[in-house]
Amino acid sequence: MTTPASIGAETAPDRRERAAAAPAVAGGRFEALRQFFSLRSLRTRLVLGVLAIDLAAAALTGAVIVLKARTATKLEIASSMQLAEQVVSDSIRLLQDAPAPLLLKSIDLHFQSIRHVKIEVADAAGRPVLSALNPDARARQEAPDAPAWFSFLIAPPIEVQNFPVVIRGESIGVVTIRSEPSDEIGEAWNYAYALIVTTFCLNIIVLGALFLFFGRVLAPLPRLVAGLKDLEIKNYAVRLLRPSLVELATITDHFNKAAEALSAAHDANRSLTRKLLTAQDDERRRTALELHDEAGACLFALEVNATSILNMARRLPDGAHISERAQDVVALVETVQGINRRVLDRLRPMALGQIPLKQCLIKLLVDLDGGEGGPAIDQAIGDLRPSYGPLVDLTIYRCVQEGLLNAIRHAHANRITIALNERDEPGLSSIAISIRDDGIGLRQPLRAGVGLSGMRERVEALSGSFEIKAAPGGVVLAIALPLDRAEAQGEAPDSPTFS
Amino acid sequence: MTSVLIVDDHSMVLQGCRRVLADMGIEHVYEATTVVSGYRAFLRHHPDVVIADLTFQGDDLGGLSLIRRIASSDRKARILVLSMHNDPAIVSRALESGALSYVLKDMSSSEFSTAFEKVQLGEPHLSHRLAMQVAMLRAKGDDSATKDLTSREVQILSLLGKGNSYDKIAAKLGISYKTVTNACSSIRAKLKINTLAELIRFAIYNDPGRGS
Repeated sequence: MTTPASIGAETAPDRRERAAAAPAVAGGRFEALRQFFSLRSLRTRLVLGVLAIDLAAAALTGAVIVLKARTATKLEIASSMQLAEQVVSDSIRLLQDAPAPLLLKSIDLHFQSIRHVKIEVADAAGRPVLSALNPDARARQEAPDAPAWFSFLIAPPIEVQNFPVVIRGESIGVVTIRSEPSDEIGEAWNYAYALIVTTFCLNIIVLGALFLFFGRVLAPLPRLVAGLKDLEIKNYAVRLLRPSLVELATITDHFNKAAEALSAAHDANRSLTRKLLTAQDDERRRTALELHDEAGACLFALEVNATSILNMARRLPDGAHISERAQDVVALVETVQGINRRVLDRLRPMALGQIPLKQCLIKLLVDLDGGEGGPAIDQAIGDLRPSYGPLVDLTIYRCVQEGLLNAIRHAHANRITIALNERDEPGLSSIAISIRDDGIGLRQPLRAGVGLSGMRERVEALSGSFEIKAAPGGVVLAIALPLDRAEAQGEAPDSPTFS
Repeated sequence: MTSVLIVDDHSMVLQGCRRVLADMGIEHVYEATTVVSGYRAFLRHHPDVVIADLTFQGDDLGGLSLIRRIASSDRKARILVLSMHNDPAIVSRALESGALSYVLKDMSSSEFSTAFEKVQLGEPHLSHRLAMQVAMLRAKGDDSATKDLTSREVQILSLLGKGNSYDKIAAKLGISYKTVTNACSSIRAKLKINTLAELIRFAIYNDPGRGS
């Protein structure tokens, strides 16, 4: 239960929270987005992890592709060069008898079909000999261009070999064989390119799927957080849905059990406090009744008799000493009567349960209004039932009393406004009390009197809410008391008569 | 010879009352200890004065119904309530039911004697303190025109109705002249009254401090 100091402690963050509330709403969407992509989010981390593995795999695959392509190209080029050499030397040998220009053209023509090499034929004078072949065909033979970096990674060193064409001892030209890896590289690029595109698309799909999947898997976590927050603000009715994942399901099961246990403990606590209050109230009422009816009657008789003695003694010729004693007895009785009245006032407002609650409250307001330069009290007390049962009646009475006294003593207010109404909502009716002052506001730390914190206990034991908060130009004490229908009928030991 | 009926369920109170009455020279006293027997005794003896408690064993404020029954059977019945209940709302109810006076059991017996003498003559009597409380309660609690007034304003209005000047009101209440004038303009605003003359007229005919 709350101690006076803790009311103040609650109030300070309360205010700060409210001050921060406005920008938080505006930035709420941004905040959610930020949190969503934050590196601290488990989901983002999981996706980033998968992405890292993907990238490593891609790098490895790339390296392997490059290595394989390099070897393959080197082998291809070597074999092509060998073939070209063979073909050139064969051609030269076979075509010894042919006229020189024809020979050269024929060689050129032959070699266009050999892949991975480039043959240049030049006559004796060094002019290039071109066969009749369509230059387009030459162009077509060239494979699609690989990007320069790719060629650079793969290309073996260019090999060049010159074959002098010697016929009958006479050199008629030169055949230059140049290794030409670009088409091979192009092929490798084609292959790599297709692979990159496919794996990229595939990975995007996988990552997207994972992102959604993690989102669904981790969805219970924010719900768990919300649930814990609920428990924090004493909303013990909160229960979580059971997620399909075993691990999270275990957590939510235990959460629900813990919430249930807390709720049960809270209920037990409340019913105990309620019993305690009822017992205390009953005891006080019995004591008060005894003092009111019995002691009051006896003191009356005592005073009357003492006064009678006093009057008789005064008439006696030598009754001075008797009247003196009698006077003392009268004075003593009056003192005891005064004490009796004060104890009664402290114990319990005797009119409560005897006359309608509203009249008791108005009497209270009249007593407290404007006394000794205190603040004026404005009241707006709506229609109330004559009684809500002894426990609720006394709670309402004490709340109003302590709330007003608190405002009068500590707020330095000019005006206190009290509103008290019964609220009837379907299935639940309640008493709403609001006491607003125009005083100095909440002091930090707030010192709630013993009376007020006692009221908080009472109100909470009756499942009500009790709130002290700063309001524009003062403080508002807001109390809500739910009404138990059965109890509101006034089926109580001191069932009011209202005759 | 004045006859008195005392209805109280405490023998000590009965005895005490008899003592006071004896001191006043009244010996003709009837007693009853329940509401029913009290009413019967009243019908049989028709006493000049009835002294009644409000609280009876197992019947809180049962005295109120006794007062009502007596008052309705005899409009001229002179009833004095002697009770421990000091709540003005209860006092008010007792007076509404037909009591002429209300005395608290823990007031001095001289107060009781004074009240009894008044009642005997058929005049109402209420101690100053109780009268004030009842008046305040009525001013605040009733849905009357004056319910919005503060207790200070009620006091001022009441004094105004009795013909006091602002100076006198200020002196009587121990407040400044300025406070009185401010209160009067506040009262006028609340009652929607424009002039001082109208305000005084209102105070005379609606004296919120007139009590019972």
